[in-house]
Order: sequence, then C-alpha cells, then structure tokens
Amino acid sequence: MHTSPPRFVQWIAGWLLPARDREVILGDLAERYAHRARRDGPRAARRWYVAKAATSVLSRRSPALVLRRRRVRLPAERRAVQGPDIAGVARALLVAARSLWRTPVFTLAALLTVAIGVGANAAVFGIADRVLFRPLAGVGDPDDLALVWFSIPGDPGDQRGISHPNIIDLRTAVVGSSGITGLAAHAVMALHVADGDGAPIALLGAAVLGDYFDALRVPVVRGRLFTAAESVPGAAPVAVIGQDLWRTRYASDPDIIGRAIVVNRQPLTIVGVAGGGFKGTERHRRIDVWVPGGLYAALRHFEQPALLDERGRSVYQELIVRSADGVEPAVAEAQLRAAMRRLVEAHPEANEPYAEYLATVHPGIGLDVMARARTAATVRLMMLVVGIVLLIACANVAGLLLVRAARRRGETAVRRALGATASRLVARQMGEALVIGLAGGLLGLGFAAGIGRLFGTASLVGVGGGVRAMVDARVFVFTLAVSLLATVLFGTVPGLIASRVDPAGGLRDAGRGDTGRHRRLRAGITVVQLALSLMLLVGALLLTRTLANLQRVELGFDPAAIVSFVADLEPQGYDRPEAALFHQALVARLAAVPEFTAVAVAQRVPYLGSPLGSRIVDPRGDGSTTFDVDVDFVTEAYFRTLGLRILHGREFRASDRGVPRGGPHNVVLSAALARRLFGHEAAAVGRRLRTHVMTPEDLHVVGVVADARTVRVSGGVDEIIYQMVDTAPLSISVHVLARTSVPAARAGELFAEAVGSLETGLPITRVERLSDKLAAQLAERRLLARLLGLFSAVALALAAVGLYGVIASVVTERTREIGVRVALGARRTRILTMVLRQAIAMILPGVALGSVGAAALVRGIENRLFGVAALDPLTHAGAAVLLVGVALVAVLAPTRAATRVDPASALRHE
Amino acid sequence: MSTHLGEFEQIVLFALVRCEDEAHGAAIAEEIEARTGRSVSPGALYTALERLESRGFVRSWLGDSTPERGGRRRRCYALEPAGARALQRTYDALHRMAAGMRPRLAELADGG
Repeated sequence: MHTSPPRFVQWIAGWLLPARDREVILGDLAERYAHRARRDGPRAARRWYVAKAATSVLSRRSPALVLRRRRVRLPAERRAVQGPDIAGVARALLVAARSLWRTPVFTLAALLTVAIGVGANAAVFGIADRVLFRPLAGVGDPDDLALVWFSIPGDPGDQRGISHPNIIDLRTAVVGSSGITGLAAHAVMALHVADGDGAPIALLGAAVLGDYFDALRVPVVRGRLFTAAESVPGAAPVAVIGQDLWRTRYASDPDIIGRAIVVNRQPLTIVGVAGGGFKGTERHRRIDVWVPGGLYAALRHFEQPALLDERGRSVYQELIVRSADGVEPAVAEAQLRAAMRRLVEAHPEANEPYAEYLATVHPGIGLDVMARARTAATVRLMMLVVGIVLLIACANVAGLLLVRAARRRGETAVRRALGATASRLVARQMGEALVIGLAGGLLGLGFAAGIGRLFGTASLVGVGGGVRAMVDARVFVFTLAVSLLATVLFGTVPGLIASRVDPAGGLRDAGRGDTGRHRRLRAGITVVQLALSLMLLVGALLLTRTLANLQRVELGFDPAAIVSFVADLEPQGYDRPEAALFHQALVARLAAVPEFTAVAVAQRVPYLGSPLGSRIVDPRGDGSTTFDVDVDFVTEAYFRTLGLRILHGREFRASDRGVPRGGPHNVVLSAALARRLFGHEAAAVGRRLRTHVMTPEDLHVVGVVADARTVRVSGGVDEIIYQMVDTAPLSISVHVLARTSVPAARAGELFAEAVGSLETGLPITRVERLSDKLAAQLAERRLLARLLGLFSAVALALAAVGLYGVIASVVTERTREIGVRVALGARRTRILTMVLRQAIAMILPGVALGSVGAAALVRGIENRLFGVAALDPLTHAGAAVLLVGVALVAVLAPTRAATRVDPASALRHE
Repeated sequence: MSTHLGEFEQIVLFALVRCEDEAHGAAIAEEIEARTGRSVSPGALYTALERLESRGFVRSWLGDSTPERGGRRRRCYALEPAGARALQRTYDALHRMAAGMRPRLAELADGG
C-alpha cells in the first residue's frame, strides 16, 4: 500500500541530517520501511520509521549522545525486558524539577526563552503542514498519487487541459497496464444548487470521470459513488455530494439518497455522499458537488451538447494518476507520453498541441505545480527564520545553564570527590535540561496558538487566505520533536562541562562563580547570537521598507472607494445576448441607487486575475513588428467608477456596443500604451490599430485614459487596451463594480436587492472592496515582514540579555581587581574602557559575522523586495548601527557598576 | 593504532561478513536485527562504520539506487584484510574465554 515513508518526517529528517550522508541514510530508511510495511503493515512501519529517523538524526548530529552504553538483547531475552527504567527516569526528572523550582527566576527565564523559540517553530510548522504536508481529507493512499501536467518540458507555467474524448481514450490505454492503476480528472465549475422552494446557493462543483472516486480511494458514507459507465454523455442525471454539504444543508438526513435537486436548472438525483471529509483534490478550494463528466455540457449550457465530444476542446483542467506499488513517476510518465503520442498520430489535427505539450508527472497532489514551488519557497524561508530564532533561544538557555553550572562548581566538585560518576552528573544536568525543554515546549504550544492569532490567517501565494496556524496532534508531535532537539542543543555542552569538573580545581574555585573557560564559551555564544540577530534584523528592515514602498506606490485611483461583486449567469443558462441585456438592466438599476455614484461592468476586477493578452501590429512599423498588450473589457462608466480621468478623446458610450466580430471596435488606450505606440498621448486619438491573432480585428482609438496600476502593484503602470465588454470572449461571467462610500456589507445588501428585482434566486458572490483584494495581493509580503519584524526584535532582546549576562559576570569576577586598580589610582575612565573593550570584543565579531550571514540570507528574499536592493548599504548599515546601539545599552548597567566599585569594600569582600 | 574492537563494532563486522556481496547499510542493519533482536538506526550504524573505515578495517563506495529507496543510492561495504585479522583475533579471544561456559552461566542466571 504505502510505498514511501511519511513525507513530512522524511522532509524534516532530510533537513536535519548532515548533507554528506543524507542520501544514504534516507535511502536505507526508505528501503527498510518498505520491507517493514510489507511484513508488519503500514502503521507499524510508520512508527518504526519515525523512531529510527529520530535516532539517526540524533546520532549523526550529536555524537556525544551515542556514547551511552548499549545492551545487546537476544530475541529470547527481549520479551523479558520491560522496556527502559521508567521509574529511574521519572525520579531523575523529579529531582531536576525540584531543583529548578528552587531557582524560580532562572527557571522562568529559561522556560520563556525555550517557549519563544519552540513556539515560533510550531506556529510556522502549523502553517506549513496545512499548505504542504497534510494529506488531503478523504483521499486514500495519497503517496501513490501524482499530478499530470501537459506542458512544454522545462516550462511548467504553460499548461494545457485535456478534452473529454482524449481522456476517455487515454484512460483505456494506460489504466491497468503496467504501473498505472487509476486516472482521475476533474473540471471545476460554478453551480447554483436549489432544492424545494428555497433560493439556490452558489457552490463549486466538479465534473469527473466515472472512476474518479475509485482512483482517489474516497470512502462512501451513503449510497454509491459513480460507475465508469457514467462517464459518457447522455448518462443518467445524478450527483454525489460531500459530507459537509450533507451535514450543513441536509442535517445529515439518512434518507438523502434519491433526493431530487436542481443544479444549474437541470434536475439531478443525489445517489451518494462522499466520506472522509473529501473536498476535492485542491487545497485552496472546496468542492461540494460532483457530477459525471457526461453531464458537463448540459450543466454549462453548451449550445450543442456534442461540443463535449470535440477532441480539441479542453474540458478537464487537472489530471491525477495513481501508480501501483513501487512504480516510479518516470515509468508512469513514459506510459502516458507513449499513449498520448498514439493519440496525436490517430487525431493529428485536433491533438497537434500535444506533440509539444508532453505529459509530465509531478508526485503528490493538492497544489498545482507552480503554486507548490512558490509555497515551498516561502515556507522554507519562514522555517529558516524561526530556525534562527530557535538557535538564538537555545544559545541563551545554554548560557544560562553554564552560569548555573559555574555557580555549582563547588557542589559538583564535592559530589565528584565523594564518588559520583561523571555520567551521573551529566544525567543530572541533562535532567534539568530535559525538564526545561519539555515544559518550555509545552508553553511554546500556547505561544504558537498566540502567534497564529497575531498573524491572522496566513495568505500564501497559490494557497490563498484561510490558512490559520492551529495546534493539533501533528503540530503537537512536531513541537515535541523540536523541544527534544532544542534540549540536545542547549543541554549537551553544559552537561559535558559538568562531567569534566575535577574535584581539586573545583573545590579551590568554589564560590568564585564564573571561570575563564565558561566565560569564553559564553562569549562565543553571544557573538553567534549577535550575528544571527543582525541577519534577522536586516531581513526585517528590507521587508518593512518593501511594504512601505508598495503602500506608497501611486495607483492612479482609490481602491477603497470601489466595491465589486459577481452575479454569475452561466449556471442559469443565459446566452451572451441575454447576459448583456441583464447587465445593462442591472447597471441601470444600480445607478439609480443613491449610495452608488457610478456603476460599471468589467470582465476583470483590479488585483484579481490578469487581463487577457493580445498582440497588435506596430502602427509605426511596416506591419511586420508586433507588440504584446493586455486587454480589459469594460462598460461605459468604468473609468468614472474607478475615478480615472480621460486625458484625450472620449470615454465609451452606448453606441460603441454591438459591433460585429472583426471590428472596427472603438477602444480606449491607457496613456502609457498610447505613448509607446504613437510617441505621445494626444496623437493616439482617431488612429487605427490591427490585432495580430488568429482572427485579426480592427481597432479604432477613441480616447486615452490616465495611467493606473490595476494589474500588479509592484509592476509598472498598465499598458492596456480597453474594449467594450460585449466583445469579450467570456461575457457571461463578469464583475460588477460600484463607486460608493458605504461599507461592503451594506453595498452587498443593495446589490442583492437590485439583482433580486431582475431575476429571482440568482445568488451573488464575492462582494469585496477593491482595497481588500489589493491587501490580499500584499498579504504574503506582509506576513513575512511581520514574522521577521517580531522575531528579529525577540532575537535582539535575547542577544542583548546574553551580552548583559557575560559583561555582568566579568564585572562581578573582576570586582577585586578593579578595587585594587582604583585603590592604586586608576582613573574611572580607564576602568570604563577596560569593561567596554570586553563588550566590543564580542560586538564587533558579531557584527562582522552577522553582515556576512545577512548577505547570504537576503538572497532568499531578493525576489520579494520592491524599491530596495537586497544589499542596500543603508539598510545593512542601519541594522548594524541599531544592533550596536542596543548592545551598548545592554552593557551600560554593568559598566556603570564597574566604575562605581568602592575599593575598600571590594578588598574586604574576600 | 589499536586493533581493539568494541562490542557493537564486532557485531557490525560479523553482519558485514554474513551479507557477503550484498553488504550495504540497510542489509547490515537488517542482518543485525534478525540475528540479535537489537534494533539498529542507520545513524548509529554509519557512525560505527565510519570509524571502522577510518581505521582501515573496511572500505566503502556508493552503489546503485532502487525504486524502494526513492532513487537514493546505497553505500556498500567490504571487509579489508586488516579488519578480517582484527575480527579473527577478537573472535578467537572470545571463543577461548567462553568455551564451556554455557551450563555455568545458565546455573548462575537461575540464581544458583
């Protein structure tokens, strides 16, 4: 069944293992996992895998840990052993907890520090798990599934869908033959679902191949799922609904099977309820209703149902392949390509593109190939940031433990002299470290929930909003693992030092507190902390400046003044002329509402989707050179609604509508495009353009409109040709925009009222202020800026505390020396210089190391910056100055204490 | 350099010899588990093998990959003459020390 080990454990282990034996160790684990999965079943194999991956990481990363003695257990003896000495471990932890309880300040400081470090990691893992690792609900054996994209090799961004006849033939050709056991394809569409007398609701549905559910191994809770015979056009009108819809809309009615519903005006019968929380195969949207592929044409209201049988007409956007046990993606890919090649030969005309667009198999489902890469990059960056925070936190706790160990030198030496073994002393140290690590980790879970709330719902490119860092079983297990790792990081060194205390030296130095070796180690730790803080600080400043730059960008209009919505007419069976009439009537009705000062219809809304691309012949050339341009399809009042001024000529008027295909269509150019095509804006009005596409059209420029940024904030100003909406290729599903000062919710009510007066039961969706869409576009950068901002502040504070601690202990230790110097006539400034020199000996290497680290770190965020260079000297220098400033403030108090040493009392002290 | 072999090292070397031509990390670990019931993590195993290699007792090279391994390569091992000699010495010593001890040990284990 499961041929590959749990993916996220593998990912974490791969991340933690040293590069030189990552491949071999992960390979061994995978091989032995497969062996165990066959012998003991997948559950036992997964448990085994997690345990072995963890011990492998520990033994390769921290050799000190495997020095502990191992026992050989023979098979016969194995049953007799009752596991590890739990009572002994519990006793050690109890002793450690009791001793920590006696030093509440130390314990609290250590716990909070661990909690911050672990909490940050848990929060980010919670997000990462939701968008990348977690198996999709209701999909069985997801490890054997892969996404198939038809794209030109090397350019995954350019992808083609596949037609109904092609997919049926492809299925027949590959499923059951070597390697491929199932094929699942879906075509997502908007549905209006009604039952009884209630108003219809807008949902997402998917037309699927007959054996879709079999291929995905979706369980059924009621009735049945589809059969392969239901793929063909003309099949019985049936539907399967999701568990969520069954629960929320039908109150989990046990008699749901056989119920009649009306979907897109077609009567359908519910034949089954899909179980396991199945919501389709895409993480970012939820499918509630599935219908057999044969019903696609009827539900989309194709003028001729036979269009579904056209081989050249792409219907299915996503194709998923299930491979048999142990079959590599390359094998499935070769099978699919061979089958597609035969389909190209059999139907050379319709299938011509597939000679170039080859099937490419990408293991795993849930996110499309482009979104996966982008999301993984963002998640990696976030993990790197919180990883650094964890390192800094561990360094601080290690420093605290070192101080504690130093204070205990006398006690430790006595114990050692009395015969305590080194391992017992290490065990004591490690016991305390473990209590701090686990309790801090638990506290960190609480922090994670808090951090999750602080960031709201994380919006990641390709995943959209709605991903909240929540604490659940998977996050809990991850947190536990991170806590243990942290324990190893901060507990090992102080533990080993404790074991090396020699009785004589320890007794001699008892009570003197810190010693040279401890202090050098702590100074080294502080240098690393300062360096790591500087790295985060530079990243945070760069992203903050990026956000500020983006918010200062001149958009050319005020997106907060416009609310938009969609009233989708396609599910209602409107054709294009009917839709155009409806929209005209709707605009007229909305324009009469006093709250709306201007109303327009457009194919696309700013900051949502990209404009259509077109190509025009260069009007200044000889006809052989062409330009790529964007096209937006709008109505008369669009420019007034957005608040864009007409610079030359005129805006659209009603008489511009109704021009037959081929033109000449009256168009308006954005000023930037007018300048590019005709040299200057005014010259454009009255000129002719010709498109250079499959069926060329003549365009006639009637106006030039002011520049704006409606596509992407971080790009240049738009270079757009505006055409009337009735010439748009998809003029049935359009957006309505209204200029208004009322809140979006109130605008929504007014929209619904106006729509309801024209067509009963037409749901409206996506009522949103344009400024919210703009905010969504910036959400990922904002998330990263906040994350880095918060954590760099935390890191800086932790580093400052570390620095303070080292200098304070230097001053305490040298109190006597300072007293002697002062008594001998040393000036206060000289004492000051002496202490400051110690501080600067840590700050300068920290800044140097951090600057190098920052230069490396910013490469990871380079493509997310805007208006500021990754190596911007001002930012890097500013961060360094800030760091030095904070560091100097941290050493201020102990330095002042040093200059105020009273020689008499200092000398009396010993 | 000392030719002393630790207890785990001995077990690893015996397993390596038993695996003959098929001596790669996963096979050695499985061999040890099957015969001693002792669970072996790749990390600990490679730590021991690395040490043995640095002492000239074994040599290693990167081998083939299989689909089960997700396309990752194996690390294969073979015993060097020095390793064979060290193992032989250890085995002989243990054998001489242990000869005839089983009944006595059983008696002691039963509390006799």
